[in-house]
This record gives sequence, C-alpha cells and structure tokens, in this order.
Amino acid sequence: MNTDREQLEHLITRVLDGEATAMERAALQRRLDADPLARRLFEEHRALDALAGEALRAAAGCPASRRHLQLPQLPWVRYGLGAVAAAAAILIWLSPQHRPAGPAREAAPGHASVANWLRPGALTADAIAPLPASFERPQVRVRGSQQDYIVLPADQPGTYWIIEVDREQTHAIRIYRDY
Amino acid sequence: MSIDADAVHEVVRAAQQGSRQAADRLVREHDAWVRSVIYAVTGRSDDVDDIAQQVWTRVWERLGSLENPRQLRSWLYTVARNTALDVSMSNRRRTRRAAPLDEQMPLVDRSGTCPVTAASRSELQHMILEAVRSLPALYREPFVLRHLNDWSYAQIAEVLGLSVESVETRLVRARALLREMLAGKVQR
Repeated sequence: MNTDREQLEHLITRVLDGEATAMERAALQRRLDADPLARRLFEEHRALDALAGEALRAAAGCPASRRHLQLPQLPWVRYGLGAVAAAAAILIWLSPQHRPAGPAREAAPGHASVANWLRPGALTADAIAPLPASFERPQVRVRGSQQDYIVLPADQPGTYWIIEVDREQTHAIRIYRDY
Repeated sequence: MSIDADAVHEVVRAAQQGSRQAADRLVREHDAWVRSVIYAVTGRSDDVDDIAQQVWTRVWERLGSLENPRQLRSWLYTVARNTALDVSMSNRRRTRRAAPLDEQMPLVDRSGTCPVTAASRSELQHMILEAVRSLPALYREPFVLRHLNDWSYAQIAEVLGLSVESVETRLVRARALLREMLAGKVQR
C-alpha cells in the first residue's frame, strides 16, 4: 500500500467529513495546488461522496444533508474557477453580439443565466443559505478519462448546457446543448 | 457528567420504570438513526418500517437489562443491528417473487426534470446504492450512518463501539472501494 496515497486518502476523507483541522485543510489545499493527480482524486471522491449521500438519503427518505453545503472552500472552488473562467470566455463568444450572422436556431437561450452560474463568486459550494425549491444541483460527469463534463440547467426545462473540461489542463474544450 | 448524559440517564430510568412519556421521548429522539442503522444493515428501504417496529418491541422488552443508561446509544445500535440481521436471515430463507422496491423501480425523481434525465439519475442512484449495498458490513455501516445522520466520527465511534481512528479508516476504505467499483461506470 502506498503510504503517501493512503495519507492523502485519509486527508481527503477528513476534509469531506468536516473532521479536518485548519492545518489539515491547508495541507490538502497545497497538495491539490501542486499535484494534478491528487486534485483529480479529490474531485472524484467529492463527487462520488455527494452522489452516494444523495442516493442514500433518497432511498431512506431522509432530508437533504446540510453538511455538503458547509464544505471548506477548497480546490473545487479554485479548480472550478479555472474551468469557469474558460467556460465563461466561451459563453461570451457564444453570446448573440459575438455570434456570426445566421439563423438563430442554435441561439444560446438563457446564456445570461448560464453566465450567472459561471460567474466566480456565484459558486456556492460551501454556502449555507437555503436553496429555492426549483434548484437543480449541477452534475459532473466523469468518464474515466481526463475530461469532465459539467452539466448546467439551461433556461428551458429539460435542456442543459454541457461544458466539456480537460481536467489536466483545466480549460473548457467545448460547450453544447443537451437534453 | 454532562447535561446530555444526565438527561439520557433520567429518561432511560423513567422508561425502565414504565413511564410512557419517557418511552415516547426515547422513540422520538432515536427512531431516525435507528432506522438508518436498519437500512445500513439490510440495504433495503422497504424492510425498514417492519424491522423498526420489531426493534422497538425488543427495546421495551429488554430495556430493564440496560444497566448503564449512558450506554443507551451503543445498546440501541446492538439491538437494531441484531434485529435487522435476524429479519434479513429469516427473509432470505423465504422465497421472494419480487425484488425489493428500490431494486425494481427507479427512485422517485422530485426534481421535475425531463424523463430522460430523471431515468439517468435514477439509474445512477440505483448503481450507487448497489455498490454501497455490496460493501462489507464493517465499511458499509459507518458510511451509511455518516451520510444518513450527518454524524461526526466521535458519534459513529460511540455507537459502533470503535475508536475514532477506526471509524476514519473504515470510511476511507469504504470510499476507496466505492471508487473502484464505480470507476468508469459513473457518468454523473
């Protein structure tokens, strides 16, 4: 067993469970800033933990956990900001005033609201404020490759923006609509 | 002695002496997490109600045997776990025509999303629940208790009779196993 890997997993678990001290959180932050593989591991654990918690509470009929709203502001925000900035740049490019003239069939409806989602500071991974009933948490798809897919609800019900992000490079590859 | 420990002591003693009010209070304060233990042991939400009733019946029958009221939580955990295991063993001996509800039907999606997304999400949840269910019990139970009750390591340790370090290690193992089981399968 890789001791370093085990130590990292313990640190990640303590952070995810809200048991880490400030020093431990800072240590994890430094590690994630310096090590893309550690960052990937953290994101996978974080996302899987959130999904497992949601699935268990749904199956057991329990209310939503408040703990996930109290995660320390860690690499998800910083890491996400990099992808967010890139995605926002692409969204700006996609906005009506920048698009080439042509049929408006693939106009980016609600791009302003999506851009609001992606504005740094609009991320509320560790916010404690209550969420509206219609809130739909963004989902992240992981395909076992270095690409992540961030799914954000668009304005029209049942439609979504998919942001494909290269995790290693932390930039958005493309954005497209999905259903 | 902390205030909480005092309160627990008084309620348990009163319940042992037949106080209906104290008994009701015990159920109110502990039923939710007892149910989470049942779910953690069985992995089947449709069994929880029936087993919970059996648990509380056993609690009232055996409460007099609890010598130290401060050990109420660990004692309740033991009763709940053993009851759940007994019922699970008994159920396995019977022939079942239909799979439990959460194996058979997609979970209810309350988000109001489109059917395709709702189906994808319910499939994902089903896959994750199956993975959790297949974890070894010593990893599954602290993992489920952590998620269903938002308990700290100390709280889980108290109920399971473990050290805090052991709880942490078991949660690390649970997450590592889930990640291995779901690697490449998860498109969230």
